[in-house]
Amino acid sequence: MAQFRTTADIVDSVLLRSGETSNGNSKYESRALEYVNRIHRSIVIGGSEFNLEVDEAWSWARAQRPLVLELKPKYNTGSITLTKGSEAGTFSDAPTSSLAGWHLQVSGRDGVFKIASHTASATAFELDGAYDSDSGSGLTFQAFKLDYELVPSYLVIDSESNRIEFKKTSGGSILTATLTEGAYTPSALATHVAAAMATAAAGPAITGSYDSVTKKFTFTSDGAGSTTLIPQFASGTNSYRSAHRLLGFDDEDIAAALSHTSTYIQGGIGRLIEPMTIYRGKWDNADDGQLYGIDKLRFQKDYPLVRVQQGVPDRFCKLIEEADGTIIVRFNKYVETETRIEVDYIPIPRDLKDNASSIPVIPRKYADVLEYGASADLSFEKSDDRWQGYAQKAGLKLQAMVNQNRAELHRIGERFAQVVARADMLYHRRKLIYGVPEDN
Amino acid sequence: MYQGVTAPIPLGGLGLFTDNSPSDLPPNALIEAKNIMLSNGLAQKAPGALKYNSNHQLDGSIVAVHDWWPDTVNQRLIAVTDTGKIYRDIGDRVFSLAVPINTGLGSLTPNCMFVEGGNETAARSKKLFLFTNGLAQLKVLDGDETAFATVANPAADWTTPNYPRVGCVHRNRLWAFMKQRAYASDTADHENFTSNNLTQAVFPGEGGDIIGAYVFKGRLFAFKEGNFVYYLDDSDADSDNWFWRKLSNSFGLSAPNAIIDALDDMLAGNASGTVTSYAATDALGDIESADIFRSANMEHYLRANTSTSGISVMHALYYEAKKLAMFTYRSCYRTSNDMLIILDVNKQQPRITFWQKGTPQCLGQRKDVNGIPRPMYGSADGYVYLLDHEDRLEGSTAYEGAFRTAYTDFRFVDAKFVAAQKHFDFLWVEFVEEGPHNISIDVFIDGYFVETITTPMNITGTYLDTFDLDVDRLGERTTQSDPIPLHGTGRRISFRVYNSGSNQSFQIASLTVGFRPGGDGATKF
Repeated sequence: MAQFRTTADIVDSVLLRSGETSNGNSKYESRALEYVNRIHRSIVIGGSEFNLEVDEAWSWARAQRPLVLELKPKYNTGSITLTKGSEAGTFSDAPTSSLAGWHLQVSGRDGVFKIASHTASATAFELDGAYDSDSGSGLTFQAFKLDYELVPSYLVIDSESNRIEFKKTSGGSILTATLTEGAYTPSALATHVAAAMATAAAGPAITGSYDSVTKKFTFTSDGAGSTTLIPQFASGTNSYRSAHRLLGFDDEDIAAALSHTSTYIQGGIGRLIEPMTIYRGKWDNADDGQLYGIDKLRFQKDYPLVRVQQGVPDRFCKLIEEADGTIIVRFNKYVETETRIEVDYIPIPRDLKDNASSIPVIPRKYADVLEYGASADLSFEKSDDRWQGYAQKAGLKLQAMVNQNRAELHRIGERFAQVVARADMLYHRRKLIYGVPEDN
Repeated sequence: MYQGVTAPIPLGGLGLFTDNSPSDLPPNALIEAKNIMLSNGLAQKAPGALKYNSNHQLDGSIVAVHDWWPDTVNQRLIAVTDTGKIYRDIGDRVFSLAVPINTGLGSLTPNCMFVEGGNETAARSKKLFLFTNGLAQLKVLDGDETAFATVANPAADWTTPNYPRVGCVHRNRLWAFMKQRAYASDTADHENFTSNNLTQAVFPGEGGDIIGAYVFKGRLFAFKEGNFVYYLDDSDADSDNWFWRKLSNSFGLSAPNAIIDALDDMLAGNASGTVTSYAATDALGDIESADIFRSANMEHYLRANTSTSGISVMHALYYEAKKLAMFTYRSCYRTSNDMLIILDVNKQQPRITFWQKGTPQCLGQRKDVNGIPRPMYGSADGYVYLLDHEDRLEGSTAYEGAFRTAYTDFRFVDAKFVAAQKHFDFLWVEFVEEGPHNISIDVFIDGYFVETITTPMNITGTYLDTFDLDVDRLGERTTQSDPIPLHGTGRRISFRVYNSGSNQSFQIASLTVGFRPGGDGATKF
C-alpha cells in the first residue's frame, strides 16, 4: 500500500481491517468500495452519521473554480399579442434566443406569467397557463429571467486538464489528445475535445457533442479502419492532468465502444457554501457584492413577483434541487445588462474506483476516516462486532478533522471564533469606494 | 486472550476421503493428498527417490525390475525394457555401462513377471524366471550367470506364438499359465515341464486367458480375463487329485503384477480400476472381498482423477517396513503410468494418498545395506528409482507435496456453527521442524480461493552449533506452533498445504483455526 493515497489502497485497508484479504479474491471487494464511496460522499457533502455534529464546508472539498453564471437582461422589444383564455401568444419581433422559462409582464395589466415554451428566433410562445386578462395585440411588455439553473456557462481547460487518453484498438498503444488551454462553452469544449482526439487517432473521425438537457458530453467515433474508442482514464500516464473529470467521466478505463457518454452532469452541486458573488452594485455595507440565499417562503414574502424590479440582485432562493445535483435558483431582481455571477460550491464527488488513478477528495492526511467508516459498515454487514470500534474511531476522526480545520482558520484568520467584548476593540478596515454611487 | 473459538483440525487420521456429501466429510478428511505420507499422526511430504543408474540410461521404458540375490552374498539388479532388452547390474549402478545381457524379446509390457525358483535340491542353484506375458519363451537366469537362457524343458505346446504368460512357485513346483491351462514343473527341476509335471485345464471355455496367479496363505489363485477367480484345491496328498475351484466371477485381476499380500490381506487391482481386498478368515477358509477404494470413500474421486487405461499394466507392491501398499496408476490423458496410489495400512482403516512425482512403470523391492527391502520402480525414462529416499527430490527434480483438508463448518465443535458466518482470524500450524523453507497454504472459504499464506518450517535460532558427539544432545523433533492471520468470512473453510522447492519438506500435525462466530443471515451483495 502506498500510504493510502489511492482508492485502491484505502479499499485494501478496509478489507484487511474487516478481516478480508486484499488480494482481489475477497467477495466483499466491491462491497468495500461501495462503503468507501458512501463515507466519502457523506463527509465531503455533509451528513455523516458517525458524528452528527460535524457539518463542515471543507475547504478541500470546494470546486476548484466557481461556477460562472451569466444573468440575462430583460427583453421588451416590440409588442405581443395575447388572447384571453388562451396560453398562446405572439411576439412582434422574434427574440434571437429562447425565452422559455422567462417571466412576462404586460404593461398596465396585472399578473406575471411564465413562458412555458419558446424557440429561439420564433415569434410564437406559450404561457404556462391561460392568459386571464383581456385579449389584446400590440401590447407592450417586458420579459425577464429570474430563474436560473446553476450550470457553468464556461469550462476552463488548463495545464492540469489538457489531456485525454484513449486507445482505438484493444491491443493498441495509448493515444494522447492534447487540448488547447482556455475557456470554452460546453458545446465548444465538446467540439474541441473531439477534434483533438481525432488528431491523435489519425484515422477515424471523432465527433463530440454536449446535451444541454442531460448536461452530459458524448464522443463518437465512426470506427473507420476497424477501430473503436477505449478511454484510458485510469491506465493513462497522464491521468493527473486529464480532462476526463471535467467532462464528467469516472477515473477508470472504459470498455470499448464507438460512443461514450459522460457519467456525471455538468454542475452537479453537493452543497452551496457561500453567498454568491456579483461584481455590480454600490459596494457599501448594505450591498457588499454578495448574493445571499434565503428560504423560499421568506423570499416570496419579501420579493413578490408582482413587484419584481430591475436592478442588481442581492437575494436568491432555491427553487428546485434535483437528485443529480442540479439546482435552480430564483433571484430577486432581473439585471439591466448581462451580469456575471460566481457561485462557490462543493461538487458532488464522483464515485471512487478501485484503482490507483482514483484519488479521494478527502486529503491524504484524513484518509483513515474513510478506512474507519467503511470498515465499520463492512464489519456491521458481516456481523463482526468490531464494527462498533471502527464506528467510534470514525466519529472521533471526524471530530479531529473539525478541530484541525477550525484551529487552522483561527490561526490564519483575523478574529475567527473570537468573542470581542467591546465594539471599540474591533478593527475596521474601511472600504474605499471610488466613483459616484448610482443613487447620488 | 483470544475471545473467539479455536478449533483444531487434526491431520493424519484419514487420507483421501472424498465421496461423502461435502457437508458430511469429517474434519480430518483430505480431499487432495498429493505426494504425502500419513504416519505418526502427521501429514508429511512423501520421501524422494534416488535415480539409481543416473549416468547410464537404459534403452526404453523399464517394464520389470528385480532385486536378484543368486546367493546370500551377491546382490544384482535385473531390469527389462519395453525394447525387449534385459540389463544386469552388479551394484555399481551402471548396468554394465547400459549394455544389455539379452535382447530381442519383443515389445514387452509391464506385465512381464519375475519369479524366483531353483534350489530344488541342495546342489541346484537359485534361478530367476522371466515370464514375458506370453511374448517369448520362458527365460531363466541360473544363479549368477550373466545372461538369461530359455528354460531347458518347456511344455510341448509352448511354441510360437503361444508362451506362458505368468507363473509362480507353489507346492515346490513352478507353475506357469498359458491360455486357460496351468502347467506345473517337476518338483525336482523347475525347468522341467515335460516329466513329473502337471498340466491342468482351468475351467476351459469360461472367460478369457489366465492373466495372473498368486499364492496367498498357502493357496494358489488364478485369475482369468472376465473377472473370474479360481483357486487350486490341493488338499489331497496326491497331486493327481488336485483340481481347480471357482471363487468368483464378479471381480478379477487387472494385470499380473497387480496383486500383493499385505498383513492378513490379499490386495488385487481389479478389472474395474479399483483394488479388491481378499481378506482371509483363516489360512484355508472362506475368502471375503471388498473394494478398498469404495470403503475408503474415494472411489469416485479416483475415477475422476485417473485413467483406467493404465490398469491393464498395473503393478502393486507391499512395503513392509512402512506398511505401505503401492499401486501404479495413470493420471488422466497420459499414455503411460505416472503415479502411485499409496495405501497406508498402519491403521485398521487404510489411508490413501497419491504420489505423482515420477513415471513408475513397474515396482520392485531392493534390500538396503541393512537387508531391509525398500521399494523401487522402473521408470518410463529408462532409469531405476529407489524410493523412500531422504531427499525430497525425484532423481534431481523437485516435486510438490500437497494436501487439502475437507471443507469444515466446525460442527464438530458446536452444532450451532453449521449456519453461522465465521470471521476467520488466524491459523496455527503445528509442525515438526524440517528446514529453512516455507510451506504455502491456500485458503478457501465457501468454495472461493481467498489467499495464500506462508509459514516457515523451522524455528529461528535453533540451528546446530558446535557440539560434541556422545556429549551434547542434537536437536529434537519439536512440534511448534505458529499463528498466521487469516482473512475472510464464511461458513466453511478448507486449506491446501503445499511446498514444491528443491528438498523442501513438511510434517504437519494439525491446523488450528481461530474464528469468531457472526450472524446467520445471508450475505448481501
